[in-house]
Amino acid sequence: MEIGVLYLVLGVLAFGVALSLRLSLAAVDAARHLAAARERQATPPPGEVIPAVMARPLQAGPRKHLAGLGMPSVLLFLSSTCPKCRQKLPELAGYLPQLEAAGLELWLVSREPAWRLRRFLRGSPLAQHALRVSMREYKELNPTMGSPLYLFVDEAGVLQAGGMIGDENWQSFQEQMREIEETREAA
Amino acid sequence: MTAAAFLAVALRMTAALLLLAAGWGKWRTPGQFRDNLSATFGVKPRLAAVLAPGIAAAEAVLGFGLFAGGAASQAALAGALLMFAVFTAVVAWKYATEDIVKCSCFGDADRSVSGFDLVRNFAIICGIAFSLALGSSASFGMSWQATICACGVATLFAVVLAYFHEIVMLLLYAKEGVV
Repeated sequence: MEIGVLYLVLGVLAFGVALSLRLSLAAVDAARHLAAARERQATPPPGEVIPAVMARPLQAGPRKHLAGLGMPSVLLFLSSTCPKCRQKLPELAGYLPQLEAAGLELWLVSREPAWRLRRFLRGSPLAQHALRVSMREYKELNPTMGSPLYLFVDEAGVLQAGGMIGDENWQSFQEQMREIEETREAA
Repeated sequence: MTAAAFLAVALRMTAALLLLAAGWGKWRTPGQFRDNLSATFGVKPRLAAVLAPGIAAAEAVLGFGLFAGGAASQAALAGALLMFAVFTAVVAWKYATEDIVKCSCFGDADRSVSGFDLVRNFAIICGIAFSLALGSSASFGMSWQATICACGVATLFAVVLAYFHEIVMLLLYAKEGVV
């Protein structure tokens, strides 16, 4: 057997050992992170101004300062790989007229690449309400990376409530949206 | 025996191990693979019920064929190349056009196909093509010690490739907890 073969095998083994060491250390990091994650809240602290994050609109437009939108807003965190999020899209898009009537803004905050987000929102009016942020910024707003998650933020950027879509606060929000729709229809 | 010939044998065995792992994974969780075939790839349920065990069996046959050596291996290499190329093309097309693509190609967890899986498949295709290009003469005159050595290297390659997505996620995102 050629010496070249032995060098090749030894080289592959050395890389294999290095990779396995690195993976063991990464697994320790992941375990440490998971232990810390247990104490982490799903949303930024309520009653405080949300972290200052500049977001890029998916479609053309200026960057937006999420803590200083100047209007009460609903921030939504959906993922294209969560089947539940896709089912929610029509319902959420249906709230847009009511929200406008009530003087509220709705923004969908995502960390996904633009092409993936465009595909997720194709044919939905929510595409005009989508904002992109970096992974670090996303985790400041949504520390446990939960989805579908919402944050209600007032005009000063203070977090009023937040949680998973479908919880108690969200249900009362749905109720309000229905009432606004009924009033609009009556008018 | 040259280093290139040794590598060709190791890569052939890697493909064999990956095919056996894929076949075994699908065999072990037949329902999951069958459901993914209908849900993601639009195969009719009745056809999927036949196709799922058929694909698993074809992978196992090719896997064993690759171990055999000689002309049988060359034929199995060509078959494996075709199979991986077709599967990768279908999965890549779905990945580019749909949000959630579930494959359970290795009978793995219930996760969506990622770009890393496609990179992995491309690497496997390149490896098989390399092995095929060097021909059956590659394993000629290989001692049994060298064969065992090639098997060991192939096992390392196969484990890294089969778990490529998990490995990359762990290396990139362990600190951020997105694993």
